[in-house]
This record gives sequence, structure tokens and C-alpha cells, in this order.
Amino acid sequence: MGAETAEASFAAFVRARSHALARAAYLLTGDVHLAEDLVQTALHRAAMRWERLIAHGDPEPYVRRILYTEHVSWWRRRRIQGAYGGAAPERASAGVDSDLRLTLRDALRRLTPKQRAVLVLRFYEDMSESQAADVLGCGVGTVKSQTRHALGRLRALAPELEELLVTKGDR
Amino acid sequence: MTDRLRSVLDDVAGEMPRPHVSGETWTRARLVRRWRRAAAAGAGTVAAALVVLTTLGALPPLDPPSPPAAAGTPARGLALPATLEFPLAHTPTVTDSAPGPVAIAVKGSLLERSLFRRVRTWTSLPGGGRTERVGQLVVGADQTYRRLEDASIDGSAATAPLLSPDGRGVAAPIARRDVGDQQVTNWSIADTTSGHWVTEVVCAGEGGWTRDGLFACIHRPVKGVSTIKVMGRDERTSTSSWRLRKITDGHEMPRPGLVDSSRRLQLTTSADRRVVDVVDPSGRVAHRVRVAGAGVVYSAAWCAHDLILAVSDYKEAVAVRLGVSVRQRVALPEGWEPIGCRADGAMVIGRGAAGTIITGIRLIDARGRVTGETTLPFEHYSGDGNLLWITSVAVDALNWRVVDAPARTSGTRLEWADEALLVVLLGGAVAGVALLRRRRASG
Repeated sequence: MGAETAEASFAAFVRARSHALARAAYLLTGDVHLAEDLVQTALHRAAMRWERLIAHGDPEPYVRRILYTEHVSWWRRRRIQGAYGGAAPERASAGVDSDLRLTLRDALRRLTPKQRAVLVLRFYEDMSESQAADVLGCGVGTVKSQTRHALGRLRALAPELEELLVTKGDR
Repeated sequence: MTDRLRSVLDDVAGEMPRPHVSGETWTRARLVRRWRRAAAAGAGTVAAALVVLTTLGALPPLDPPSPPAAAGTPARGLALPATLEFPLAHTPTVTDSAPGPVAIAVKGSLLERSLFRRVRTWTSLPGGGRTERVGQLVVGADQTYRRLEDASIDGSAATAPLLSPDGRGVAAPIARRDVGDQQVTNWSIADTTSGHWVTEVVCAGEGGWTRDGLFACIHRPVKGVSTIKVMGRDERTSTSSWRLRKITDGHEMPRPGLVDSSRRLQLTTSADRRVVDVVDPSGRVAHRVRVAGAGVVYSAAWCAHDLILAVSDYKEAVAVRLGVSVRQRVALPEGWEPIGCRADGAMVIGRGAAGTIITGIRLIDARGRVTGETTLPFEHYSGDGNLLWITSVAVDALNWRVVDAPARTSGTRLEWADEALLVVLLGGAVAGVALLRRRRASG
């Protein structure tokens, strides 16, 4: 594959998927600017090996994996605690769902980065435990325990989220 | 739970506007990739070159440590390699491992150019400038190298250390000072068989070793008669215990030579320097040798038991049997002069002035033929290059012969190998730590 073709392919991927990546990044960071930075970093790293990524098919899983691992490593390196919920865009909010959204956003910021990553992977990206473990580079048992701890912490922090967190077995 | 939670999470994520992704992302990523590839290629090339050089033997292996000779063993069967190499940086000291009788003593300076411009610490620059730990290199009769060092030695002292004929002692001028109109020297004497500095003696004049291992020097007090001080092992107590013996003499003694069995001292007269007197410890002249036709006697050296005397006027060496006649006259190669004799009577000559810098030693056999040569390491001081003075050679090279020993590992090359290996190891360690950090950061 020529360099120009690869660059065009990369540009097309950015146009098509950057917003979706940014949404996940926003859930992870809770900050618009940090989310942009995270996406930018993931795309930068993906561009360095773009030919190999597209040779194996869809590059998005790899980019997402970078997104999540980079997010955890950012936290480890910089200890970006409290960044979650830093710069949220103004958005009209009204109604029950809007209240839940704000409550959930506020509760997410009080989880650990890895707990947030597990929740986003499992319930936003709709991944299985093994898929989430693969993305995070950890064991399935770790994903299970992190999920359990994250849900428990959300219940403790925001009892009004209970209706979101109740499983079928609980009813 | 899943659908409801996902819906609200989607709602939260919906707050994120379309991100602005820099148009330079691709270009910057490619630039970083090129740099990383170039760095990896460079590191790989260096590693491959090291592997190839090591495999081909361009970088020599470490010399296995040679066992020291038994202390007190006479220097019989002495053999020197055709070339004495620069010493290794980690050459042990005589304290760590006594080399036994010493074949050659070296004093000088060695500034060795290396990757990190490291200055070796076993020696010092002469003439001041910078003073490192001072020491002399000695080579044992078994060709093992040792450092003979003492922090108290004045490295700028111009006078060479003097090695005893039997190789069992070294006298080093450790300090000099002017007293009145004469220069007083503190000599420190080391026993090479034990590795200890055993005693000191202060003299206002030259010093020299006797054939049987006594150190003699002249002390000329400002008032009074010259005194010859003789330091020797006290055989009644131990080999490392030395005592001072004194004899009084009125002779000028510009360069005390060797004593035969402590009974005679060799003197050169001050009148015309054509006469060599041999005096006994009481000061009585036991022998007087007039070296006719030999010009001015510049230096004299005792030879073996048959009392052969070699003298020189820079042009020829004269071997004289005391009390009998001139036995042999030998024309000297230019720049060479006698420094001793072998057991069979062959003269040992050195290139360079005795007591200053000797860059090689040869033999002159009974027929006057010059044979063999051991080249001694010497390079002129060049600012930051190698410098090593050879200033004293064991004149008791009784059985000295040149052997074709395998080339000994040079310290310079070995240190380059050491340092290259160190760089590789450090690089590997840094890369390993970086990799570990990345892995940990990746979760």
C-alpha cells in the first residue's frame, strides 16, 4: 500500500470514527478537552502503524484499545483525579432522564479510572467480560471484580441510580 | 439494567461535541516513526558490530590472573617478553598480591584516552600539573604486573625509583627539599616480596642499591664529614625489618653503585672521572680501577660474582676484572649504556640514560654481539595521550632473556571493550525500564 493511500485511509477513518471515539473518551475522562487529547493521542499512535492495522482489517478495535489503556496510563502518570466533569458542555437539561444523566456523570467522576473504563466497556460499548479484559489487558476476573466494585460504588454514591443498576435477578 | 444504563451513558456521551483532530497528526506520527526506526537501526548496528568484533577476537578477552611468584624466590630464570605492554587498569598492587622478586620497575604517568576520558589512578603526571595517586609498575620475574604505590609519594619527583639488583626492593624518592645549598631527598624503601614500604631514609645526595640488597645513599651534612647511609634488611629479625648502617667516608660519590656482599662500595672519583674506586664499609679503598681510553666514566655497574665492572662514556662499555685488567671493550649502540650484567657475563644495556628514561634493554654477549631486545612502553607526553616512563630496570637481570611471549592484552583495548560493554548494558537497562514502565502504564 502506498503512503498516499494509507494517509487517505487514515483521514477517512478520522472523519468517520473520531466523534464516536471522542464520546467514549468523554465518558472516560469527563472532560471535553481531555477527551480530545485522548483521542488525538490514540490516533497519533495508530498512525505510526497504520499500514499494519488496516492490513489486519478494521483498525478501530486497536484504536479503542489504545484509548482505554492510554486513559489508565494517563491517570497513573499524572494522577488526573478530579478531572472528570471538569469541562462539560452546556446542554439543555430537563426531565427525569436529564437528572439521571447529570447524576450519573457526577457519580462517574468519583470512580477510579479503571472502574470507569470497565463500566464504559461493559455497558456503553456493550462488550463481554472477556472482550473488556482483552481491551484493558487484564484478566476476566479483574473485569468482574472491577464491575462489581464500580456498580456498588455507584449505588452508594447515588441511590437514585438504583433503577439503572437493578438487574433482572434483583427484581 | 444494561439497556437503561446504556441509554443514560449514551446520553452522557452525547454531551461530547465532534472533536477537533489536528491535520498534522499523520505527518507527526510518521516523523516520530522514522526517528524511532533510525535509532533502532543505529543501536542494532552498534550491537552487531560489538558481537562481530568480539567474535573475531578484535577485542581481546580478559587475561586470567596470573598467580604471584612465591615471595622471596630469587630472580632466577628471569624472562621478559619482547614487549612490555601498558598495564591494565585493574593491575593489583603489591600489597594485594606480592609479585616476588621484581624484574623491572617503572615509574611514570599514564593518561589513557578512553571513551569517558578516564584517567587511570595508579600513577601520576610528572612535573606537577595534576597529581593522581602515585605509583610504580613492577613486573615480577614471572611476568606478572603489579602496582607499587603509596599515596605519600611525591609524583612530581623527577628522580626515578631505584630497583634493587635482586628485584626485592624498590627505593622511591618521596620528597625533596632544599637545605642550604643542597637538596635533601627522602627515600622510601619497599620490599617487593612482601609488598610493604618498610623504611625511609633521608639523604642529601644520590642513592643506589647494592648487589646484596642494601640501599646506600650519601648524606652530606652542612657541617661535618659526608656520611654514607646504608639501609639493609636485618636478617637476624625478619626480612622486612631494615636497619641503618653508617660508614663515614670523605669521597665524593656522585653515584653510589653496587656493593658486593656489603663489603665494598663502588665509587667514582670526582677528580677526572676516569678512576673507579671500590671501597669497603670502613671507607678503605679496596680496589682502584683506571679506565684508560674509555673517556669520562659516566656510570658504572657491578656485574656478577667475578667482579666484572662495566663503565661507559656513552660510546663504549668497558668490562674490567677488578685488580686484573680490562677484559672487554664493547662499542655501544648510540643512546645505549650498560645497566648490569647477566650471570654469564653478558652485559645488559639499556636505551636511554640510567635513572631517567629507559625504553629498551638488550644483551651484549661475551663476543660483543648485541642480542635480543625487550621494548619497554614509552610514549612522550602529548597533552592527553598515553605517557609512561620507564625509569628503572632491574640490573640484576642475571638470567634475563627475551622470550617471544604472546602479546599481552593492552589496557587501552580492554578498557574500550569494558566501556562498550558497559554502554550496551546501561542501554539495555534503560530500555528495559522504559519497556516496563510502558507495560505498567498500559495496565
